[in-house]
This record gives sequence, structure tokens and C-alpha cells, in this order.
Amino acid sequence: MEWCTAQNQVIRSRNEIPYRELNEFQKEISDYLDRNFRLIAFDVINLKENEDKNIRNLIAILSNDDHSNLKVATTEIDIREKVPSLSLKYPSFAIFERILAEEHGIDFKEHPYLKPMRDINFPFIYPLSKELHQVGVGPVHAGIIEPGHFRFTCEGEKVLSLEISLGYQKRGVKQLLLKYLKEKQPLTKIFALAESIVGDSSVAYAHLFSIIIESLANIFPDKRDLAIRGIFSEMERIAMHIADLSAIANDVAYLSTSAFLQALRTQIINNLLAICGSRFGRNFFGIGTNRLDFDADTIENMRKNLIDVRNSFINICDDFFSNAMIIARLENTSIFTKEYAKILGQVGISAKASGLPIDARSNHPYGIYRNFPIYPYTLKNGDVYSRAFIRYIEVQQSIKFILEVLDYFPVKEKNDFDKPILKMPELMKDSFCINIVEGFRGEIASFVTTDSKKDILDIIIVDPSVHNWYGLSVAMRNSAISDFPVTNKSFNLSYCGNDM
Amino acid sequence: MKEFIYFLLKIILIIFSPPLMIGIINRVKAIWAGKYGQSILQPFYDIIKLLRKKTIRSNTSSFVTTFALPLQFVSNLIALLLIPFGKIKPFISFEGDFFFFIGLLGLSTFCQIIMAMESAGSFQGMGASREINFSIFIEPAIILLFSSMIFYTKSYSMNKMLMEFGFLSLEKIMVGVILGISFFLLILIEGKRIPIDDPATHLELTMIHEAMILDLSGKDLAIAIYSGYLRIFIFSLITSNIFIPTFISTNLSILFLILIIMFISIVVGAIESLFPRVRMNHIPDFMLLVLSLSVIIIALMFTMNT
Repeated sequence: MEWCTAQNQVIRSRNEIPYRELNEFQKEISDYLDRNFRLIAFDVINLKENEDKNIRNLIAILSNDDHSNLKVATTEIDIREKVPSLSLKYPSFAIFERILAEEHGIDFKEHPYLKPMRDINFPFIYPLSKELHQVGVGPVHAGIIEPGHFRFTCEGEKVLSLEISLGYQKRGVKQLLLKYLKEKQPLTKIFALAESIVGDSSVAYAHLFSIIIESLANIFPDKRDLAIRGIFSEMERIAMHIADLSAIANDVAYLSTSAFLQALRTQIINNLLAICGSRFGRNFFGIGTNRLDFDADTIENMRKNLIDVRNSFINICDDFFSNAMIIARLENTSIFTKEYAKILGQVGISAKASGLPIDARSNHPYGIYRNFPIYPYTLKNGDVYSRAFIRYIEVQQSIKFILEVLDYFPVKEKNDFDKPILKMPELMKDSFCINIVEGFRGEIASFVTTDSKKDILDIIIVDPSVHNWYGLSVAMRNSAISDFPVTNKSFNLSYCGNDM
Repeated sequence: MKEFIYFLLKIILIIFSPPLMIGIINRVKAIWAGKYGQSILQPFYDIIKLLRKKTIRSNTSSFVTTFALPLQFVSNLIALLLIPFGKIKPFISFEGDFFFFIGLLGLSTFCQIIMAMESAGSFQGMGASREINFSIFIEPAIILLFSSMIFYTKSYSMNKMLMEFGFLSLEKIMVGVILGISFFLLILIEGKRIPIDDPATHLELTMIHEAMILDLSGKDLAIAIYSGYLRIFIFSLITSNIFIPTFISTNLSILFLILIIMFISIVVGAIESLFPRVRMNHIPDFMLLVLSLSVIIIALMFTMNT
């Protein structure tokens, strides 16, 4: 039996989500996963109002990236009963099952390691052999990164296992967002909250929130607004990728590249500051249109700035990536193979560096990417060098994209600035919608349902970091412990995106 | 009177040159990265700041830290007293003192390692194991380098050895170049500079030397840092002594010495800006480079003898 086929940003009726018995549900999931589908989200969702306290609705969202379609189905489980785990056969479920076990008390039998995802007081695996030793790093780190604890079990310099303990950043932001939406708080406040779900991809989250509301309310923004949104997303991607490359160069003590790239990043985020008053692109997105439009000066400055950045960036990175000592340092460091990337459901940079072309901008195109698609480049090695090089390529792609969009900049057809931009529109009742945007780390997926009173009933947000943290710990296996900082920087995952 | 001036000059050089070298290195790195950079005197300020701070020790540390830390500092200092400054005699000199010199360096490394092990942190243990692993390759190299110098100067004290080794004489220029390069590489290795270890890093997992002093604070840290500076200065002094020609006057040799040490600082700064760190498991390759250079010198020695 086929599941309900959905598409990015397309609104469907809530009744169309098929219901399956649990064993049937799991069997069909494994059928789909064997047929080149991958898991996007697996979570509890509130589908019916006023339900039994012990009954939970589980939803699985699977994606076929080649045909841009998404499959959705739900099942019902009783939290007093044990549920067979899918993790042993499909490890990409392991993280989601751990989250469900922690948040809803669902007991998955035969799960290899049902440790709570965001509990900071849970003990670690302890080696019994005296030959092995453990090294703990964090939660307070040197430098300016978020809190998280890493526990290495090592044999000399070789890492045998890495256990990552997060949860220091758990703020309940998803529940707060839902509460704000239900209380009908002012939209500026909700946007500010959405932008701070993950502070360094605030543009991507604001973009996601805009398209969630627009698809639920059947609003179609002007093409010029979509273009500006695309430009903003790509500006954020350029800035963050340059910052990541700078951090990688700093970790291998290649100081000049690090300093120059930091200066370039400032050039990009200062451009955002000049446009919207925030270096991280905050307070810009709206519903139906954006809060600001570009004038001729802005476009000209941006074009000049980007051409300048591109010239410097290519010069700096050509030097960096062709330096023999850099190649020796980064190549074959923490290899993450394509097989692992596939079964662990990796997205974003780590998937592309391992040879999986997963990118929402071409797989599930939205907004301006329908007209100006960006195809994902892939490398097959899966080492730190590939992950850095993918960033180098993506920055160039993004600059090219922005310059192209600026050249064919659509004119605003209807002037809707007299419309209230920051007013919550009326949503469609009893419907659901899947929205995926590509942040700089990877795809940010969301699933939203509305109830019969045209209010938002429940929301699921999956940050790319949820998928990819597991990838980091697998990539570290059998590599040297001194390679961890640079491997961590090459993944550059979000702590607060994982903890929500 | 002249002797007294030289005596004062040596003391001034010993106290002020090591932090000044680090200041110059940091300044060169900053300029290379397009920054204005900190003052050349910043290492002095750092040490003075640390000396004013309160010292906190790990709960697990015992009398070992109390005696190992001064011992490490003093052994580095005495090793420095064995080396001539250009054509000025060193403070201490006797036949066969190069063995004493190597022993002192070993003692200082040993003190640092037991001090690191004692604080019982996982990073310190890791740093200590790396340090001991890599210093194995260095000691034989230093012995071989000194023995080649003994062969050419026929003297067993470091004073005569370094003073009489004429770099510019025709038969020694090849050996001189290799010796100079070897001792220069030893500056990077013993000073824990960039291709080996990053002195500016904040990443606990990749540190070698920094990991070992991670648990020290206040005056303890000031002493440990100054010992590290002395280590760099010792090897820069040996390197510059090799490059000073034999035929110049004593006063000129001091000028030469200061210029060469400044040049060495600039070159170290440039190397730190131009090269990234090598991977941890490739560091022994770097050490073996020095060892193989010393073996080449010995081979040259035999070919010239026959």
C-alpha cells in the first residue's frame, strides 16, 4: 500500500495521512527505505484533539530525493507497551527513537543504546579493559563554542568510540513556539523566537517559518520577494561557510588563511547589516512579502561587494587547498564513507562530502530555487578535506547564484506594501504541510498540522544536526584523538539545534 | 673592567632575550596575518601578570610539583650557562660538559613530565605521553650533532666546540650548513613551535606542551612558561654560535649574535605563518629528519677522514 505522497510546501488535508497498524507501519517503512527513500523525521505528533493520555500518534516522513516526493503515514502506539525498534536494521532511526523514549517514555525493545538524548546526568559507557582510557572534553570548552560533553574511549592516540552528550542547551523552544502560535502572540515576537531556534542560521529558520505560514494560508508571495529571500539565504550560507573554513584553517594552525577568511566573512555580514540592520539577517522576513525591498543602490553595492569577495576568496582558498602540507593534514582524516552516510541518514555537508547528493534546493525546490536551481556537488572521499572543499565549492555556487538572480531581478508586479506584512493570516483548517529549507548545515524539515478551528495544532522541526551528530561520532572511530577538533569543525554541527 | 661588562651583558641577554624572541615571533605572525599585532614586550607583561596572580594547585598534587617545577627551570638555566655568547666565554665550562648539557635537558623534560602526570588530568597524561614519545628521537640526534663538532674542533667542552667551529672555513661549510639546519629544526622541536605543536592553540586534544602546563596557574605557570622560553633561547644560541665566523673580534661577535638571534626569531615567525601543523602521527617523521641529518654529518665525517 502506498503512503500519502506530499511535496515540499504543498498543503494537503489532514485526513489524507494514511493510518497503519504498528507492524504494518514498520514493514512499510522498511520497504520504502530499501527502495531508495531516506528518513526525514520520525516523531510523535498531535493529530487528534482531546485524545487518550497513553495513546500517541507516531508519524514518519520519508523522502525520495530523485523524484522530489515525500511519503507520510502515521500509526498509533500505547506508551505502556513495548515497541519493536527499527534502529538495528536502520540506524538512522536510532536518534529519533532515543528522543521519543526520553520525551514520551516509549520503550523500544532491542534498541542498542536507549540513552536519553538530552539528559546531561546519564552515565557513559565505561571500558572494562585496563588498556583503554577515557578522555572527557567539555561541557565548558576553550574558545567560543556551545556547551556539550564528548567522552572518548581511546587506545593510546586512537579513538575507539566517541560518545556525545548534549542537552545543555535544551530550552523547550519548539513547545514555546507552539504556545506563542496558539496564544496568537504578535508576529514580530514569533519571528524573533523562530530566528533564535538556531542563532547562526537565523535566516534559514525565518525563511522556514515564513513558508510554513504561507503554505498553510495559501499565500503566494511575489517573485521578487522570493528572489530576495533566496539572496538572503545564500548570503548566510556564504558567511557561515567562510567562517567554517576559517575555523578549519585555524585548527591546523594555518594562521594567515584563517585571518583573511574572517575578514571576508565580516564583509558579507556587514552587507546584510547595511540592508536590514542585523548582521545575521534578522527582522527581515515577513508573511506574504518581506519587510524591505531592494533599491538600485543596494543591488549595485551587493554586486560590487560579492565580486570583490569572490576574487579574494578564490585567491585565498586556491592557496589553502593546494598547499601540500594542508592536503597532508586534512586528507584521509576522519573518513566517513558513503555507506555509513547513507544508513545514518546524513544530510548537508557531511552527506555531500561522502557522495550523497542531498540538497533541498534541488531535491525539494522551493521559492526562487525553482527558477534558479543549485545542484549539489559531491565528493567521494568523506574526509575533512572533502568537507572543507564542498564549502569552497558551495560559496562559489552561492555567489554565482546571487549574481545571476541580481542580473535577472524580477520587477515587483503588485505593490503589496500597503498590506500588513506582520499580521497572522487565516490558515486553512484540518490540513497538514511539510516544509523543507536548506540551511547552511543541511535541510531543515518541518511538519505542521492545523485543527478544525484554523489554529496550528502541532509542529515538528528537525534540524540537520539531529541527523549529523551521530555521523560525527562514527567518523571519529579509529582516527586519532588529536584530529577531533578539526573533524568537529568540518562537521560544524549545532548544539542548540539538536537540543531545541 | 671589560670582563665585568661582558658579564653584565651575558646576564642581560639571558634575562631579556628569551621573552623578546617570543615577542618578535608573535609580531611577525601578526604582520603576516594582516593584523597590527601585540607589543613586542607582551611576553614580559604576561609573565609579570602571572607572577602577581595567586597560585592554585590541583588537589592531587604533592611535593613533586613543589620541587619539579624549580628543578625544571634551574636545569634549563644551567644548560644555558654552558653555552658561549659569540666569543664571550660561558659562565661554566669544563671538559665533556656537552654530556652534562644533554643530561640537563633530559632532566628538565623529565621534571615537566612528572609534574604533568601528577595533576592526574586526562589531558596532562596525554600531553606527557606525547612529549616522552617524541623526545626519544631527539636525544640521539643532539649527541650525534655534538660528536661531529668534536670531530672537527678536537675539543670536548661546549665553549671551545662552538667557538672554534668556523662555519666559513672551506672544509666545514657543508657540515656547517647541515649543523645549522639541524639545530634550527631543534629550535622548532624543543620550543614546541608550529609544525610540531601550536603554542597559541586552545584545543586541549591537540596540545603537547600546552597540555602539560594546563593545570598550573599564577607563579607556577610563569616559571613553566619562562622555562619554555629558555628552551628556545638555548637552541637559538647554539645555532647562532655555529654561524658566527671565527676571525671577527669579540665585540663584533656580540653584534653578530644579536642579529642572528633576531633573524632566527623572524624566520621562526615566518615558518609559523607559512606552514600548518603536521598531523600528530607524522611528528616522528619530522624528528627523524633531524636524526637523519645528524647521521649524514657522521657519514660526511668519515668520508673526510679517509
